Amino acid sequence: MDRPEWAPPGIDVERPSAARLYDYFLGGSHNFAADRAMAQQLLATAPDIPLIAQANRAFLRRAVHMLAESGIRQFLDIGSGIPTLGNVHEVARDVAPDARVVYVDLDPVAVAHSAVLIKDQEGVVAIQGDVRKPGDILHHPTTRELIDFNQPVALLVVALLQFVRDEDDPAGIMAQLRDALPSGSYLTLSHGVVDGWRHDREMVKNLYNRTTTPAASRTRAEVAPFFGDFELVDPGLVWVTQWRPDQPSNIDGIKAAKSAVVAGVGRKP
Amino acid sequence: MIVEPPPRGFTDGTHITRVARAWARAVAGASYVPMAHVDIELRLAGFTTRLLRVLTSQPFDPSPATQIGVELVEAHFASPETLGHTINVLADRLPPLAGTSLDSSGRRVMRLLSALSVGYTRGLRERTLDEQESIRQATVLAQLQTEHALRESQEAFRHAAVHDQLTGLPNRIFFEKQLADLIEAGGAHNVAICFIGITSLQAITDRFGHILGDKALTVTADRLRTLARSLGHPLARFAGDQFVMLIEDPAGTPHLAGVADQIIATLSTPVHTDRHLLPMSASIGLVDRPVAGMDANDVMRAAAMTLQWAKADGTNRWQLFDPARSDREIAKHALAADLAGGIDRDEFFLEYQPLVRLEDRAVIGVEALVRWHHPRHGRLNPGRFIDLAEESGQIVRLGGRLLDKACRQAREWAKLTDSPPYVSVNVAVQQLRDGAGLLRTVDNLLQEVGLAPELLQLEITESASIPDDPQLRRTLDDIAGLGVRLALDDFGSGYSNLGYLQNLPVNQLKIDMQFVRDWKPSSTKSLLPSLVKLAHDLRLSALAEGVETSEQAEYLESIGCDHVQGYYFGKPQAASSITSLLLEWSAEEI
Ligand SMILES: C[S@@+](CC[C@H](N)C(=O)[O-])C[C@H]1O[C@@H](n2cnc3c(N)ncnc32)[C@H](O)[C@@H]1O
Repeated sequence: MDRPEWAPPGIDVERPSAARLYDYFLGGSHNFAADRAMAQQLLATAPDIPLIAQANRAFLRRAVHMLAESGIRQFLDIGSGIPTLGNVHEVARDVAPDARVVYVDLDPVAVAHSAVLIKDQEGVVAIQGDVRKPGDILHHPTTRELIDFNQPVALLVVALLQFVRDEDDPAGIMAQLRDALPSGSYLTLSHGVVDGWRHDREMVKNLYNRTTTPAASRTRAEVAPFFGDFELVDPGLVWVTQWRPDQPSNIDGIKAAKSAVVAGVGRKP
Repeated sequence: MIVEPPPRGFTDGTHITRVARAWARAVAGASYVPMAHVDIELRLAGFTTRLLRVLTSQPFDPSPATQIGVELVEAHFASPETLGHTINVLADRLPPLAGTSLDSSGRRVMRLLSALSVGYTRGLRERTLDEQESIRQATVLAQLQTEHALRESQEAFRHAAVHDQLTGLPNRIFFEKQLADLIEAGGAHNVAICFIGITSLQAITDRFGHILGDKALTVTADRLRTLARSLGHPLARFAGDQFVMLIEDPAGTPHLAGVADQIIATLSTPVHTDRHLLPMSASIGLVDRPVAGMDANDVMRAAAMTLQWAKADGTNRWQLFDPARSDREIAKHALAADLAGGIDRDEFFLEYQPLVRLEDRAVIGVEALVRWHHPRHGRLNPGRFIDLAEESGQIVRLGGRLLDKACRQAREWAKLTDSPPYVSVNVAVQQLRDGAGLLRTVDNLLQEVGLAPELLQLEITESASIPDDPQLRRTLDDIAGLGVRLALDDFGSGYSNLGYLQNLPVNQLKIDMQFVRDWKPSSTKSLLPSLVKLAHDLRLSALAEGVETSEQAEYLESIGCDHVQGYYFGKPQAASSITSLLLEWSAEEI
């Protein structure tokens, strides 16, 4: 980035952002005209995107629910997005009212939204942060205040890494994040992949390159290493709809392989 | 009004569930509903039951369906597609559930669904407006936060620019601004600068390296910070090992002295790091000045100078600025700066003071004494500038020039009379150290001018004749070898090891003027006789300096002193006066 070190990323409403596009695809109105214009272009090429987004969001819900049920009380959600619907703290607190959540996103509007949404809720905070600087997130005073790194933590990296390109060393970033967690912690990860993608790949990529966070294309096989030595819980790294699907499962909006998103939950030994 | 029978299967859960499942399937993917599938079905079953109740209400009133439409949206079954699919499913499935056909309850179902749609679209519109409001707020908030972050980072940037990285203290830039502001505001009457130098730091860094040096500095800074806070005075790191404290309206010198003592006491406690106990020391320069008409640069220069005085005084000392001393030093520095140019412009000249033989009161020699005709200060005596010339190394060049002048003058006098006086020229240690150079200069000069070597005498001061320095000894031997005379100047004022005198190639001892000055006709304890005897025992001639009265002259003669020099026999004077003197005498002789 050419910005001087001290200049925080500003809000450019003229420039589409992944966070607001995602919100639009989930049916939210937390987006600007520029986002919607690009969404229309994306939809023209890949009409499944809203279904994919929903499937991903549903995975997040199922995973957080499972983690809360298995006793996890601390959630670090990086790339949390705009709190559209079914946010992590809502899902977790349904099970465990004392669950604590730190939301982290690069997009200042997403952070501001989160701040408005969680206002006055103790144990839930939103900070602006860049996953490419994991140290800043881990050592952020707010993170340290809320999360006890001696207790198991659920790290959520859901539909985020497809916006981190290889030159930013996602493997190194993930290693650093995993290392910060104590044994018994979980990594919940989903990643958009090119396998199963039936639509014009280049077109979609080019469109995303116009956003504030250009996309990286990875295959299913390239996603698995992000778990490091974490042990994948059942059913492993699978299409996002196949990860512990709800019953009845016949009311999913999209077929598994078309989701073009793989997901999994790993546990630190 | 037609009374319809209660719907068949109204309480039959399985029917309701089946409708709900069909409904759920129909709206799947049309909007994201943050619920597990079972919950979605349960939720829709609930809506189905309520809708059925509305459909079969007696009398029929569709309006509660409006509220159900609103609630559907609130439960996140919210998208245009969802409404479309919902109408489809319900139009198909509700009438059989109610035990009627679409045909028979067609109108009711239409009115029900239309009420539902009204509620639904109203809900959707409300939701969109709410979200718009919320994104507006979030954007404003984000913008504020961004601006705030920007301000903070600029603040941090500014902080970094005016603070020292290592100690976190304000830096010199900050301090200078603070002082300038204070002067400009003019609120304070007086301001004192307490300029602190950590004198032990250089040695620590030299010995243990930068890491430990920095560590010691940080600890020192922390101590100072704590003290400064408790005293309520701003503190800054000025540079390297220098800190500065600003004291507004100090309560007089004793107060400042107290502060300085406190600082020194605080800082001179050893620093404990790793395995080392590092002894610490500090010096302080204090300047107290009225704010009115103050020049910040001036004050800081004064503070730095005062710190130097304190350092020169010893370790753990402070000094208060002394304007007179400062003036002297400033003048001295200015003079030192003028020296080189002065030599170039030939501003130095010689005066000659007669050296008289007591026996017949004849002028047997003259001592050449340097003067500086300074363009601004006028005539200056050597006391004002010889030290400066030595410090700056200019003495070698100056000494060379003076030798040249002296030799040429001596040659003039030699032409004038049969018994010309020798010329005695002072030579500085640095000139002697430049041994070969000095020898060459003297040798060439004698040749070039054509002066008999015995008409030149070099005076070296007692301290300069370092007996243990073989190089100096060789130089003196070589010069003596040329036939040039050598005299030991200011004898008795230094601390010579008398033993070495035996071997020095010297011709004359010049007894320091203090001995003559201290002598009284009544005194019984004078060293003068012993000094004269010492000279004679070494086969040297004795010359007493500083003779100002006839009593002194007579006494010196009575104890056998050979020569004298002093006002009584003639002040230092222009070469021309000496010339006239010589001419008078040679006329008398003839
Ligand atoms: C597709 S959304 C995912 C939202 C949420 N995790 C979910 O899965 O429902 C991706 C989010 O990642 C955020 N993001 C992109 N690059 C990021 C980065 N370098 N650091 C942090 N967040 C980033 C975007 O702003 C966006 O909100």
